[in-house]
Amino acid sequence: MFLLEVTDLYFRYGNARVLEGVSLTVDEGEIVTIIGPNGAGKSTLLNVISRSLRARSGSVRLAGEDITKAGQSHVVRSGCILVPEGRQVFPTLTVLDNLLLGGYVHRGGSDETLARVYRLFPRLKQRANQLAGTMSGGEQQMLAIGRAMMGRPKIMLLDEPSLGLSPQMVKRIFDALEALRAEGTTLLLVEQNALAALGLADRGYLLQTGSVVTSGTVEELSADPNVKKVYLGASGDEDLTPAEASVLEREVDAAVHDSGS
Amino acid sequence: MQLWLQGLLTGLAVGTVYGVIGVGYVIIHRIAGMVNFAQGDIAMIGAFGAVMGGGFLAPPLAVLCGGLAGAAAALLVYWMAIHPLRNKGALVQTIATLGMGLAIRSAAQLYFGTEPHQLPPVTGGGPIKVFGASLSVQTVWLVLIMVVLFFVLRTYFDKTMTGRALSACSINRYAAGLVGINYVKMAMIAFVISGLVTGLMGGLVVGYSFANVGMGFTLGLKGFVAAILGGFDKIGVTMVGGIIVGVLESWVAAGVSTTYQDVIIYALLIVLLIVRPSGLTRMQVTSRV
Amino acid sequence: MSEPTTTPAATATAPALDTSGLRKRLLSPLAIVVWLAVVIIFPLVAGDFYTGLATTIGTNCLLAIGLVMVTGYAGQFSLAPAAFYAVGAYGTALMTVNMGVPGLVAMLISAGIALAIAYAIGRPIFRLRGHFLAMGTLALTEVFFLLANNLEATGGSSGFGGIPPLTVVGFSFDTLPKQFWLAWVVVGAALWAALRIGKSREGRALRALRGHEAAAEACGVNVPWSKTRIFAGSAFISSLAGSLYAHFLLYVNPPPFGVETSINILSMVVLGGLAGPWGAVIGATLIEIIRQGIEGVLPSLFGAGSVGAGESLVLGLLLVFILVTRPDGVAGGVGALAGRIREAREQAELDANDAAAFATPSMSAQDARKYESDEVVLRAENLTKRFGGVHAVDDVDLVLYRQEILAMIGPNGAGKTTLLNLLSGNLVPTSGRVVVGEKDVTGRPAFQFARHGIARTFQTPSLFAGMNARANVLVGAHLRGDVGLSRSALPTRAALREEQRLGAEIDEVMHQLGLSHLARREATQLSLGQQKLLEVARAVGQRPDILLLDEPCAGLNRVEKDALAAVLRRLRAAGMSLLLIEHDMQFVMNIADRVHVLEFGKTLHVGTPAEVQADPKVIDAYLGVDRATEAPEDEEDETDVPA
Repeated sequence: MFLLEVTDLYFRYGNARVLEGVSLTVDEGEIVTIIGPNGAGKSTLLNVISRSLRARSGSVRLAGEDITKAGQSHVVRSGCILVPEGRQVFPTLTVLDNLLLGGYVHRGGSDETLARVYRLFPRLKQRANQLAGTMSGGEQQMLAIGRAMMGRPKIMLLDEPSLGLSPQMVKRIFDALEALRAEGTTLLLVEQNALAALGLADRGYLLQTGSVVTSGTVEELSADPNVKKVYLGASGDEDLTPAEASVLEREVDAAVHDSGS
Repeated sequence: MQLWLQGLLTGLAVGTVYGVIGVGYVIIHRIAGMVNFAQGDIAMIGAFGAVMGGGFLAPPLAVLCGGLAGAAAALLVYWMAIHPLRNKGALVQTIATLGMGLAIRSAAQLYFGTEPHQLPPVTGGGPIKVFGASLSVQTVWLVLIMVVLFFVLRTYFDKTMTGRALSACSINRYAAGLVGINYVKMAMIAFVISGLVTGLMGGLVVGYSFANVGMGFTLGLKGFVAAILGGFDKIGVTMVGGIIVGVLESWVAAGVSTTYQDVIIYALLIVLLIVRPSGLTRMQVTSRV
Repeated sequence: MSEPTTTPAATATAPALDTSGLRKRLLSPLAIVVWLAVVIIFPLVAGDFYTGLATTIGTNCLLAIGLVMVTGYAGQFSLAPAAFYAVGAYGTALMTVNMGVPGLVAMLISAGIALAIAYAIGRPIFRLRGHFLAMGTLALTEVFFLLANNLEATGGSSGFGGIPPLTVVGFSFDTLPKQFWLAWVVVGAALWAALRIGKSREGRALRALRGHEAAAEACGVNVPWSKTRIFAGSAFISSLAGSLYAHFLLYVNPPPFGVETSINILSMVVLGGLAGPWGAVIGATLIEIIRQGIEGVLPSLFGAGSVGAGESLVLGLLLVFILVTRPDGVAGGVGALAGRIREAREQAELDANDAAAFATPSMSAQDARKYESDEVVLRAENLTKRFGGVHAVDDVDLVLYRQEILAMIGPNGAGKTTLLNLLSGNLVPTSGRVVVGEKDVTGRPAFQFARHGIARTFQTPSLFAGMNARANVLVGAHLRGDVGLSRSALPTRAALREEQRLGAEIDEVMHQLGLSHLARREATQLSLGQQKLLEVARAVGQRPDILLLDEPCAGLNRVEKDALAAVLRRLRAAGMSLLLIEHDMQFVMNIADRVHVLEFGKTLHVGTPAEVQADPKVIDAYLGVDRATEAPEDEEDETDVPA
């Protein structure tokens, strides 16, 4: 049994078909990444899985239980928690209040979980009584992840955690994600920063215009010509210039090598 | 001098009522982003709840009955006018609350008739003399209850989990959903709290004045002035705003004319909307974000 | 600079549109004749009771039409009808009785006063906090009611009598049928004016701002001012209704001018439908029928005393019920059906005539050539925007030269859209300046940016809901017309000619973008790609000097992208300067003269496509840096943190 099993998911926004039959699985303890160009439906997919949006058809199963039509708070309580794109912290509440709200479904969360969050992000402890909106983008991302941790997720869905962050900060966030996995949290990661995502993940799916084009291990994806084109943000129907291709290959090799070590 | 002092003490009573009803507006506006036009009628239902409770209960308990009746009425407004229209935007919801207010008022008129009803004050006892002006015991109760409400509400919103969840819903409904907060449940809680405090005030009004079905109009409009003064956000400032309105009103009544006291207060509302729509604490509100 | 040539497909569509125009020209005089005939005949056959009732409905219709203009067109919730109704009634009463002013003059003066009051109140409220209008107008109504009830001049609660019937050049409206005629001819005129306004430049602007305020501003619509004008226009009509009321009853007292009346009118409008003035007429009639029904039934059930409260109870519940079940009202339901049939027919004609979509223009040498001008049309200096602790845009300098295509690229979250919003006036910078041509426009409202020749599209399609594709693009031409509210209400030759001119211009734009065949389709129902193109058309319809495009390619396929590139080149050749955000690198490298790379809100690189492509830093930024490429160990935060 998979921890998360998404089967044939469809979603429409007005007349726009955003998801057209997406299926994927995530095993316990895995880090799985979904990559793809802008507008492929990655964010929508995470929002449908976490029940912020309602699927048109298809099913989402969490540890065997069908949560497609469950209430959002039930989904959160069952341990499927989304760290949204753009962080979405509560800017006019303090950092501590934000974290406590993360544990809302557990009546505020335990001191033990809070200690875990502070251990992973000491910065949040220093700033516990500061308003969240006054923090830098990177700190807000830490808070968003910390807030999700407070809900004691079995699987954490992350939507572009590197958005607008400097390379140093991206590294810090990704290190934290790796530590989270080491503690036993499963991660489903949507990233535009595909190289970094593949460096972290075990497996990946390539999403394009609402459906899965390719999937496989990081090595398989890296070898897939489709993926290389997606890196460039091009729409995938033209060839790379030799210069671009060589740069990419170097980058991808480095990423894969790093994840293997 | 004594005239002004007496005005101040008289105005204090109505002012606390306006202030707390203003808080009722604020609580709903925070979570639903709209102005509840039935707020005054909820206060009226509170008054009649107290009158009915007063038939067989001691006055303090009767006032509590008023609070419960107000909460029930607010919940009714939510389920009939807000919940079914939750995807429709504030304009439609606001018009619907206007319709609900009208319906509640007319239903009350059919049931209670148009004649005024009365209830004894919360406790007996003659007026207290303050520098020659008289302060009724009911006013003391009103102010005390308002102060208690202030601390209770503030603690509730800032220190309890549900209170934080209410704030979260008003700041960012999407993110609130992500941490598992059920918006509908929170909205119901907000309407109940708003109805409760508004109904309590309606019940307390009957102790120094009387209840009739038309009373909701002035209470609603003046409570709204208080809410505007509070920038539709701050509970404490709204309460102070209500007292300002009440005192101003009784000074106008004493010094200018009782006929035009309402005209002047409503004109003040219009001026306020024009020159200072963000309330008494504009600077703080803008610099906070 | 050559005007684009008209292609055969465009000439093919022209006759089809002309016939429908001819139909319309014949239809409207016919409607007027039918209206007048019905109005003349009705009192002759209906008898006194129904004629009286219908006259009351007539005055209510006027109030309701006024409210539809404010609430239906502009989406603003007002409880003012009773207040301006009172101004008209008491103004007429006081002036005709005390000063002997002729009825018609008194009527116009009162309406002028109502207009002035509406302007004085509306202007500041709409600029600051429009959604409190309802409470403000509620207070206004109550103030006027209390004044009428207490002032000596108005006769207090016992009222004010002795008003003469309205006499116009010797003809006195002194009998019931004559009053009926007067009321319904005025209703007809108001209805006609309201319908005209709905279709005019001003009405489009109002519906646009109701649909999407930011996009309307970007088209140059001065949002608060537009709302104020329609509010004042509505006050004018309400006041006329009051004057008529005074001349019909020859006596005024306070009760009809209370808040209940405003709520009543609101119920009519909601029941009938907010979308157009026909809803007001239907609603006013239906409510009166319901009222008569209640007055017939209730007394036998609950006794005579229950009538007033019973009526209110039914009205209140009806209001909620209609909003929940049929928010567009009775006319909305009927109108939607009729509109669908008509639009489908027109759409079918378009489909037959313009099956060839997107006529890809071949690229002429002129289109392809680069224009190396050193004239700066848009300049950003040290532009910074902070949201709380986040520096979305951090000290960016940017220049856009005349007739160039500048592409802005960078990873998600780099601040591209924020920068564009700063350049279009939709956001106010924390610091720094925006200069258009020679003019510093920093801090001005967005509609003024549009007036300085800046047009833009949005990242997520921001079309105006409830309007068809052509009407959406016509809003873009807003600034090139100058027919206001009053001139479109009384369509002068110039107004009609202007409408035709703008129509022809935007039809040409839509044709160029291959959108002609979608003209009658509801804009928000189109596919994502079509919506994005339609937004480009709306922006081009502004005939701007500077065009800002936020991800114009999202949702387009390769063929459409090529066609869009050709259109953009042609716009450049015609003299426009373009700035576009785009993720499709092939598109960018193909079309851009220069590329501005943004990362973490800062400028990373500015140069020609070739230079940018060759810069390894840019490749890193855009493709994503692998986290293995080392960063300085545990260095403190790069962003400054407020203590």
